Amino acid sequence: MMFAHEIAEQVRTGKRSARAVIEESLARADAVQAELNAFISIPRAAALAAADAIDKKIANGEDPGVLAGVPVVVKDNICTKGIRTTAGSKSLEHFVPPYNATVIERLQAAGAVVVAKANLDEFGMGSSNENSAYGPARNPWDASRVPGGSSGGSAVAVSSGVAPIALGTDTGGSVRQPAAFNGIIGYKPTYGRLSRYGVIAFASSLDQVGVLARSSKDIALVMDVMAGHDEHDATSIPEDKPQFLASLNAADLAGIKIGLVTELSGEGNTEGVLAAISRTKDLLSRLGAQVGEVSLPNAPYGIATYYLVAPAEASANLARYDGMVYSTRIGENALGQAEVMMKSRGATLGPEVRRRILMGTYALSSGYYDAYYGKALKVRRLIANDLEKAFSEFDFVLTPTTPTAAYKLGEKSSDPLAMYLDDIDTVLANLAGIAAVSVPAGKAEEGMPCGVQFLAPAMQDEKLIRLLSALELAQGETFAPLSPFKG
Amino acid sequence: MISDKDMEHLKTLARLEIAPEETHHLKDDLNKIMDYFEQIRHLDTEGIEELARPVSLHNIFREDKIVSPLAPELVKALANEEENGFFKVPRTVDSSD
Repeated sequence: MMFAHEIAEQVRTGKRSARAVIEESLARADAVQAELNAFISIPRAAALAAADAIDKKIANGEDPGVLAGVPVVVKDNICTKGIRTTAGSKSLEHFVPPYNATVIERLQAAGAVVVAKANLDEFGMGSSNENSAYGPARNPWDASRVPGGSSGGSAVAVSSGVAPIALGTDTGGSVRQPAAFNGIIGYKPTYGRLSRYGVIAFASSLDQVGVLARSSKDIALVMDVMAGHDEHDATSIPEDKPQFLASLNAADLAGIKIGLVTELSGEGNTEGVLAAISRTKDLLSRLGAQVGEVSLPNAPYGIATYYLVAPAEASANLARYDGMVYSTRIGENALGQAEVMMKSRGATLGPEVRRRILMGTYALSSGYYDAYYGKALKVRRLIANDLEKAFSEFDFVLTPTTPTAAYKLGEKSSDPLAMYLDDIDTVLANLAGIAAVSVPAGKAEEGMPCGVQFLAPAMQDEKLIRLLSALELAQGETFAPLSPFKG
Repeated sequence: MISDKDMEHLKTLARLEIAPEETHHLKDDLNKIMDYFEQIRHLDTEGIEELARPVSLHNIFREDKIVSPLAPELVKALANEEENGFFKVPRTVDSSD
């Protein structure tokens, strides 16, 4: 699979038809689906029709858009008009959205083609893709291991060459962690840079659409298309003028200061992950950056804070899946409304979703609100303050993306707390609403890829992608290789 | 500590039917998780303002212009049950009361 910017160039100049590109992508999607269960739907007919429409535009001399013929895979919690969107849940098994999310509307207007809807942990709740009602996706580097989550299918799609670009959502690391587990780039923009309109809500103050890709130029290309104010999302940043492509190709990092987070770069990480941090420090220094250490004293409280705030918001957001209007209804009407709601929710929401709804309900319930939810919001402020202080001294903050590389299926699924603790590095960016990217950093244990994470202040996304491009330029083709999955 | 009685109350509040055995497991999970959360209850947050959302935006209104709504038939097609253009749901209030 070529990069998005190469495909668009070939299609726009008539070297290759959009139809040929999309047919190749769909064939690869079938092969990947057969062994790795990365997708919930493959909308073949719609994808081919979209490709034909692009080829027709080109034949007519019209501009087919900057992403002409580029296949994209979309996480199945982002609404696609006419294409079933399940959020990985049985409660939305039959939901076919009558409208597009704004990010999809903008991608399609630029000529991109949705080739598959990616598997995910139900409603984005999970770090291994094992909480999908449609079965777990598997890691293309080793099919006995998890691909990460919750945007697991999106990461598999990019690392196994189905599409150069996939969209995910990132509430506590759900784009960055699977990117690290698959050896690709996972970028979570500043909160408010990408519209959440049409994105199925998990925790509204933390959710952000993110991009998985293998090149900084591809990320820049789609960000320039997708970012910018959307009047349908009240938290969309007004007067946002994305300038990603213009910010690329930093030849060096002279004058850039990077702070490695003391609390997150020692104990608790595997040796392979620590070696990746060490390699990254060397590379940064070679490129002229100054690498120092920085303390985020409240970072160790990130997990407790996040797992109080996110489930509290989720318990409210998921109240709508009650079987009344359009989510799956279970039970006879004669039972009455309350009983049908209880049955519908109990039968169509999975175990992890039920657990988080109960956690959130508890944290918000009378008598506990101040002790849990209110307290968590104050610690959230402390964490944001720590980061602000770090950014007064450093341009970027560096951490591992995850404490380990991808683990075996089933290894952690029986211990929810153990699974939550692995999100220690990623939740900080969501709590503070800042930009973050997971950058491929070679192999950790047993040949499995891992990543390092850079955090940037809010609205410094372009600068962050510029840093990414410098690391990429320095490493060339070894930067984010495709997985060895043959299919 | 979350008790069995608390669990029944939470299930009602959250409108979730959960079998007794799973309720028992969930109670143990929740207690283990809430124990872990105790660490932040002892942090000094005196005078710290809550941070509920990461960007402070106020009263962003869009222009009050007429646009075409979603076609009613598209929306009705999603309904579990529909009658005369309305969503049909189970009875809310018992008529025998």
